[in-house]
Amino acid sequence: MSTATLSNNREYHQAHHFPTARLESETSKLGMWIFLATEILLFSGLFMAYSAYRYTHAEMFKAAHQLLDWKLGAVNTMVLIFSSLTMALGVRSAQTNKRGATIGYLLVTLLCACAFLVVKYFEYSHKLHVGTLPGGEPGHWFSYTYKGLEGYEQPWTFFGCYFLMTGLHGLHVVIGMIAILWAMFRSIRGDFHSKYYFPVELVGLYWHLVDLIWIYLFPLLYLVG
Amino acid sequence: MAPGYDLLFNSLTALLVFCLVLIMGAMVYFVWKYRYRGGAHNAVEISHNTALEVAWSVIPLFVVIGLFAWGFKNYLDMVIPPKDAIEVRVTGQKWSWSFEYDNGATSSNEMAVPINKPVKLIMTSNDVLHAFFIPSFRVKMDVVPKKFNTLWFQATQYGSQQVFCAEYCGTDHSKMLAKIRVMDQADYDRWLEAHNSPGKTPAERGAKLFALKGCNACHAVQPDSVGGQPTIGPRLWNSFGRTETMSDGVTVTIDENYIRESIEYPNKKTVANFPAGQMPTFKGLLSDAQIGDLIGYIKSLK
Amino acid sequence: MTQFSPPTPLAQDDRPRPPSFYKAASGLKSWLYTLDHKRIGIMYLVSVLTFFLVGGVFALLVRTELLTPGHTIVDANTYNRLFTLHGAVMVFLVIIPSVPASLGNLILPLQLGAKDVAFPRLNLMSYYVYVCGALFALYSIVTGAVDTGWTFYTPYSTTSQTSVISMTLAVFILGFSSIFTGLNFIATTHSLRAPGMTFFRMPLFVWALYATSVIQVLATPVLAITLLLLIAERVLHVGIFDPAIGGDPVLFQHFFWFYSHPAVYIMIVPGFGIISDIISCFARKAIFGYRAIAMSSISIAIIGFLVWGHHMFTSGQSELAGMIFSFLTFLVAIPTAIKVLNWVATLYKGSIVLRTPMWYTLGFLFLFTIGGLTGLYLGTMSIDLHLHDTYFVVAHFHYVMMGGTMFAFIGGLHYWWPKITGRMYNETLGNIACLTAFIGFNMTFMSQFVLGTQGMPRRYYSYLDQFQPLHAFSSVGSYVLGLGFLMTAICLISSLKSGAKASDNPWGGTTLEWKTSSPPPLENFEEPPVVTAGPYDRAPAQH
Repeated sequence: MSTATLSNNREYHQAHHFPTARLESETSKLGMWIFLATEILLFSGLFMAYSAYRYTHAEMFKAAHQLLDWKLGAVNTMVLIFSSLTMALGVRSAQTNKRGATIGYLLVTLLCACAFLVVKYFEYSHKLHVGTLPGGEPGHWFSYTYKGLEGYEQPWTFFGCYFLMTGLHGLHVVIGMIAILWAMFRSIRGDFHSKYYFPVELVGLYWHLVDLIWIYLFPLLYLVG
Repeated sequence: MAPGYDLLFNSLTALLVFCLVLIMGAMVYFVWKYRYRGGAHNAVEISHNTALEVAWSVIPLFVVIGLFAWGFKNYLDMVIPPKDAIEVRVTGQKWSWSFEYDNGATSSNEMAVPINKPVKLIMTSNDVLHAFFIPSFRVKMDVVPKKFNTLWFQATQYGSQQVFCAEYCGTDHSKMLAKIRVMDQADYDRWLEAHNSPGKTPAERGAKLFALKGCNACHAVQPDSVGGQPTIGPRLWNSFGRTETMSDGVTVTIDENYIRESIEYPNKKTVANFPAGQMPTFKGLLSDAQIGDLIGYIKSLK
Repeated sequence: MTQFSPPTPLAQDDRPRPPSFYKAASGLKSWLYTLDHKRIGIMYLVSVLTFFLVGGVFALLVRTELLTPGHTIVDANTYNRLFTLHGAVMVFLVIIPSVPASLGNLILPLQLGAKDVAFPRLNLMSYYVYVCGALFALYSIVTGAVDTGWTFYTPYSTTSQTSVISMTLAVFILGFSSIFTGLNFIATTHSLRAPGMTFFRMPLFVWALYATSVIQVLATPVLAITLLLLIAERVLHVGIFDPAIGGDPVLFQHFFWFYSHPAVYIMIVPGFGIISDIISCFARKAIFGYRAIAMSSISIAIIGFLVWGHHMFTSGQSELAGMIFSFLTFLVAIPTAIKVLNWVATLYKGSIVLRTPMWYTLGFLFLFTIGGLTGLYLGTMSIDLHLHDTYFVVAHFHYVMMGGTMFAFIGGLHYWWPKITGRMYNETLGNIACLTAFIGFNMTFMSQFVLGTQGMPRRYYSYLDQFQPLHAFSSVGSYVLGLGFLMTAICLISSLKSGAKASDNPWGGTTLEWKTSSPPPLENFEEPPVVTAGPYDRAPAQH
């Protein structure tokens, strides 16, 4: 059993059941990749539902997505891509013993995530105001209007897809923010250094997936047609 | 009632019993013959036997491919109805079956068919999933709301055949039964007369509706030789069963599902060279029964 | 509940041995906060067996109602809830976690020569997630339960006035428990094998768990999203599954079966692994065709993802789709057949010792072979038009899931019982229980094959008089089956107090778990093992 010294002189005991620290970090990364695979399959169910209804209701989808503000979506895309960059730089900083830079980059990533959620808040609240809601039909307790979509069948299906996909994605953004905060806290505490930084790497991997999913969502929902 | 099927079923049973007896026989024999009798163990290590393993992989592979092919062909026979089949419309709802015949007769929970003639059922549901199951005919098909599924059979024996609902649908799923009465053609005709609701067939009702709703303003319903017919929308004379090319190049066969879709969502699939956005939707303005009547009317245009 | 006092491991020589993992710490907290895979496995085992009892009671109530054609003990609405709960509890709370989460957690690290799984905290979390899911399920049961069938077909499930949301949430949560276990096992198998243990020196139980874990990790998220969408449909009316608002009920079936077919392989493949280990041990020779069996587990996992449409031959899906699914269904029969043939071939020129684990294994071979062969009927498209949604299907899946998985599970439980508890169970009682269960099982379900071919549909509260004799016979069989399992429970539980102490290797097994004490110490091995031979190799003198 070996220990590695942390930069604030706290001892890091690798888990007792791993023969080497390197094996532990490699295995943790494998574990995270497997988890990311499950996330991809989770979202792929939604993508399949979207595809099925897009195929059978192509005209309605084309008309309905005009009601989304693609400029706001583009802003969010840029914000997330930038946050992936700062996340990667944060991992690199942890790897090269730059504690201050690590905290800084993680903070910027966190702020980008906040910005993303703020934009989403504006989008959602506008839709709630206007009445383009995820579901409902005449008589249902949601009151809805789908102005501009009269004559198109079941517009609630498009908005159901929109809210479910972006909502589930938004939930993952929030979870990612909590993970980034945790990494920041540990960084401030001085836990990470060049021989032990894989928790930051794992958070980074998760964050890149969150970004990647959005990069698929954005064109499918906002742009195609 | 389904001789091709029974042969396949019984052959498969014979094959599977043979396999079971062979494998279990070997197992029992080995357990008895090689049981431990005390003293030193004398097991012989045999790690593998390539020839044997290949044989018992490849031979079953060919057997299952053969089974698949036989089953698929049998399946096609069982689901593709002959062209001249008598059509009956079936509607399932919690928890009863209703039947409607070409002459306008209706019945519920009991259906009549003439012996030795193919009968095609066109089925839909009013609420949840059901399934129409006739064990003695060896057929079953789900009954789906807002969709038409078909099933066909040809009765070869007189008598009463049992029908079950075979897709769980709630409290009285097990009471959603029906009977099929197989009779002579003459008796069948008399039965239809007796069950005919006063007045109209679906086609006649549909014709009146067609005029009432203004469909005749855009759709021609007489042969091309008749002049002065509207050309705004595709002609409906001789249209049922026809293949049309849509504006996006996809070909579609005009069947019950397509007609219903065009009535409720006219802009989804528009025939090539006809303008989209012209036909209004009748969703919510026509009941399912009325749409059925219109379909019946369109089918009669030939 | 008798006090279980685990014995001190029997010494092989006079050296003092480390205490068993039970004695390493004591008190309730040491269990609730444990990171030891063995303790987590025990907690799973107790939970799974408890829910097996719950699901079994539901089954007996269902069968009792079916003794007579009309009302026997409950009304139709209650009956519909009973069969739904029986299915949901058995599938999600019992069979799916049964082997991986209990026996897998207990034995996998030992067989790899590891000290624990890769992520012990994730392991504990997966157990608490299971408990959370179980609580949601119990909440659903007491607030009106569900009457949709365990398959939740829409639009019935989107409109039923029963507690659908809490039950689907329960299953959603349980899915994560399954995913975490699978993730853990994959990482453990990759990283923590003992020095010298290459992939082809792993025991077949490990191969089976690995293949299962891959399925768990890839398929369960699809179930999660399906259930989320079902809840969204009920609450928000998004119009995806409910045809009244434009949805497609057949789409739900595609989504649902895309998970639930691989799920049945999650259920059976670990059982295959147990059978391999037991046969090798009790025939005193290495498994015939080791590589074929290992590879067949992987190929079943892969092909198993491609056959979901064979549950939907009567749904109105296109003939082309049905044809593809039918063909692939036949294909997946081949690796399964290879396993059965290899197992029987292992018996050839063996030196077969007949103990309770081996009796369960022989029972498995008979019951699973019947179950698997009857699957061929259902994969044949035209035959399925006749037999779909009849008692034939019910009999088929009970033969593979109960006669298959549960027999393998209970056989494995007896096999590893001395290792886990340090006690030997009573052999005579164990064998009588096995025989009783076997007879009861065949009485219950063989009659249901006949009922199905005669046209008896499933999920029926009442039935036509002509079906009563077979129904009554089946119900009596279910009581015999219940009695057999009761006897098994008595056999195992009583051994905790009065069983003989077990040595390290009472069966003469060759895999690594038998090279440590019974029960094992906290760190599994006094000295980390080094592997120099295959998992079933014996030194010549050992034969």
